[in-house]
Amino acid sequence: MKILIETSTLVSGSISWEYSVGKVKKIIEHKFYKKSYALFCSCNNKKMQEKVIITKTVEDEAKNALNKAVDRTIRDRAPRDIIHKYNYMVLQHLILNDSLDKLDYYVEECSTRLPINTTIRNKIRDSEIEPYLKSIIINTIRFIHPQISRVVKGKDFRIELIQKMVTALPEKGTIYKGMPEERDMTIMAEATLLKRKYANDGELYVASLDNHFKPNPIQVYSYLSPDMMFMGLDSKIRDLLRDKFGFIGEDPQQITQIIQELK
Amino acid sequence: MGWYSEHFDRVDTTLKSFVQKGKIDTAQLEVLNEISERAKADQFRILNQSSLSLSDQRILFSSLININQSTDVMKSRLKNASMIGENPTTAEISLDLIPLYQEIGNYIDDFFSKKEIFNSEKLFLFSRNLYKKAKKYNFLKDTSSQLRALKISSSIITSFAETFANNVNHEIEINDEVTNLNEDSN
Repeated sequence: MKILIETSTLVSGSISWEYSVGKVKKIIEHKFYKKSYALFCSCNNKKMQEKVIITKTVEDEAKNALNKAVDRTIRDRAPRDIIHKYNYMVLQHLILNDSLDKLDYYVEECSTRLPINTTIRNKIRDSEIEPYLKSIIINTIRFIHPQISRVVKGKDFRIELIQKMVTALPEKGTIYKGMPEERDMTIMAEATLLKRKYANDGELYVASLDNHFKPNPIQVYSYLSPDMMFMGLDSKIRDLLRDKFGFIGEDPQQITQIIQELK
Repeated sequence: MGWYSEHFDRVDTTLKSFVQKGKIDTAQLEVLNEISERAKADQFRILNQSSLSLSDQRILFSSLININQSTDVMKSRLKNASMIGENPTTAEISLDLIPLYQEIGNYIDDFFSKKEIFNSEKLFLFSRNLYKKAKKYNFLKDTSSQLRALKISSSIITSFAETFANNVNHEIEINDEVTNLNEDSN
């Protein structure tokens, strides 16, 4: 078994900033920090560091994402004078370095790096992954949107009706996030390359929080009932990618469970 | 030779003489004070440069914070070491930071003379390495004292950090991903 860490897992696992001002102590975490951190902890506890892979592409992408997010944050705050800008610059310095320290820890102490032939990787991406993805996502949808007439009143009744309609549908349509960008396909190509190279090492999981890689939640949505309902997961595209290229995109939480069940 | 390069060379010579003599002469520590104060003033000069992109401003600013803090802490630690008559291990440790100071100093000098950064990615790497080394040797100020010095409310700090955590989602395209079905319904 090998686990390729994808950018979203690496980045979210790096954001947990603890600070105190006077008596106030606070921890600011990314919403997926706990599950990403738990994955690295489980791998460390099972002494699996050599089976966890962080490629250069993923590390660079993660660092870029943190840097861009910090720029965006300063812009969002729109500092009105140089003192405010100074304060934000000091804050970004503290938060960014803390995140990069955690990221470096995962790269240096919780994982390994295997050689990637970038020419072969790019060839796999351009001639295999991209055309295949284009062919399988043609008829996919992001949400299920049942048509319920306006005359049906009452939120509870509408929700019940939606649930009945969705479960009664023989084919709900395949749920997928949409065509991924080149950077995601590059990581898919790296996973493919590693799977082919280490075919005898068992499953190769891609630990990701991005719905381009993992099973997509079935989200049911109606314009008249704006509350989104979630009805399980659709893993059809993920499974097609697994069957064709060998890597299994999965949520870090699920991979942590698999690791914990290992003897 | 630029101001920072010249002053870091002086620090290098001073520290080497401490190590050679096995004794720290506090009268020679003024150069660290000059660098620390200059780096603090230059942080504001950088923020006032409208020709710089935000990202380049950020990288230069962080480099200057690292210089300002580490030279300030270095000076007080060398003073303490001198008071207890320490064989100058603090001076030996400090010497380890000099190559990074010189690299970063060259970039900052270049920027102030030519108003451009030649390779901001490399400067970022040098600055990160300086931060890591200074942290390893305890040459950085703790987060709480830095935040106290800013004199801003904890709600502003929290809101900044939370915005950052949310903005990361835009960058890694997981903005609308749900945690899982159970978590979401809670």
